[in-house]
Amino acid sequence: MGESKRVLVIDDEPDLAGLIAIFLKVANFDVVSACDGKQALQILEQITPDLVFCDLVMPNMNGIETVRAIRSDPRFRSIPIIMLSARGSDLDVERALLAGANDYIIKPFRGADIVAVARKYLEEQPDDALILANRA
Amino acid sequence: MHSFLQIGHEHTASLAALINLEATGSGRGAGAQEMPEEAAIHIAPETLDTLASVISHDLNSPLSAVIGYADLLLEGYTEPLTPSQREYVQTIRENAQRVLTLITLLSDAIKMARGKLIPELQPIEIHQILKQAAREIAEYLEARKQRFCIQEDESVTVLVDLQRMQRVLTLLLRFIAQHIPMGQEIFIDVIPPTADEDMVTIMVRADVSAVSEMGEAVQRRSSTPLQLIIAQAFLKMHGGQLRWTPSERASEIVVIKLPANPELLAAS
Repeated sequence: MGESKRVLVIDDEPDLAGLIAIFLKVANFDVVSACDGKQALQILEQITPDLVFCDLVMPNMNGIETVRAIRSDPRFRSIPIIMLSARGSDLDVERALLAGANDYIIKPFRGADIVAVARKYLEEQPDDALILANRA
Repeated sequence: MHSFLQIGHEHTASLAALINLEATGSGRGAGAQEMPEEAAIHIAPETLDTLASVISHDLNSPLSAVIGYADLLLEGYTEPLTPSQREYVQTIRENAQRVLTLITLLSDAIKMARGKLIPELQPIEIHQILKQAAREIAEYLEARKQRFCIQEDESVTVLVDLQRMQRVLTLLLRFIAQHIPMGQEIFIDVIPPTADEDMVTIMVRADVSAVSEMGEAVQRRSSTPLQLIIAQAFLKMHGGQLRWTPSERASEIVVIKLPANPELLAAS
């Protein structure tokens, strides 16, 4: 069996970050969590993840700023970044994609959606963004 | 220009007052109840934008966590649940989902009132929405031994934001089912537009004594139910209206009016 893919989860809500980590770990991903953009950048000095989930609304350094900072580093230009947010307007999605995110998941999400998106970007290399709407 | 959120002894907050943002001489929105000045909180329109944003993020996030962890338990990520544990977790999830729907609609209503969110109007057959609403609360109705009987004489289309109107009508019908005594049939009549009025009328009714009991139960509450506030706000923003009418002598519970699809009017 190959080495587990590593996923960085950036979310200021520890319960949500923990939830995403559980779903991913059950699906055999290796998970590292950061509580905000600044911590994420510090972690990225030490490790290179295969994929990033990043919350949009965070204090100090929001998701857009975090994605731009990650993309500004040549080492991380091709890492898939998936934005997470309760906000799902066309404008929010557009801003995230323009900042450099590859995809957008609207909260609340299902665990199966998180795993499906991770697999899609780490195993299938999709061409188009897959926007997963709130199923509520 | 100020909007006016009233918090008083009756804890009544009218979203209709929030929607009407024009200041009058007293600084109160149209339709506002008279409240002691010291009990009133004035909220600037810009603050409403922040409120909508806060609602959609700060309340959504913990609810998403509740729903997510409930799903963890229900979908077998942990040890199998006993039947009663499963029932309890499903109850937790359903109630969290209900609150999430309420706050999402509340946030959307504020954004629409502020012009920050435009409804996506499309012609929809009204029976489609009503039947879907009944389906979504089918388990709840079964537990209460209730049934919605939807009149189906002719096809009638309305011009609405389908996703949001679906949620609003589901919310409203569930509220009605919750307050009507168990074991009742609840009738929904759909009246097409007439020569005098280009609105589709939806009348929800039940047995007179059941409606009377329901009216008393709702009256005893210390505040206008949020479901009614939200439904009224969305219907108003669609150019429609909601009239809550339970009384001692009539079978009518609520009368809803929605704009008919203009093509329907042209064809008639």
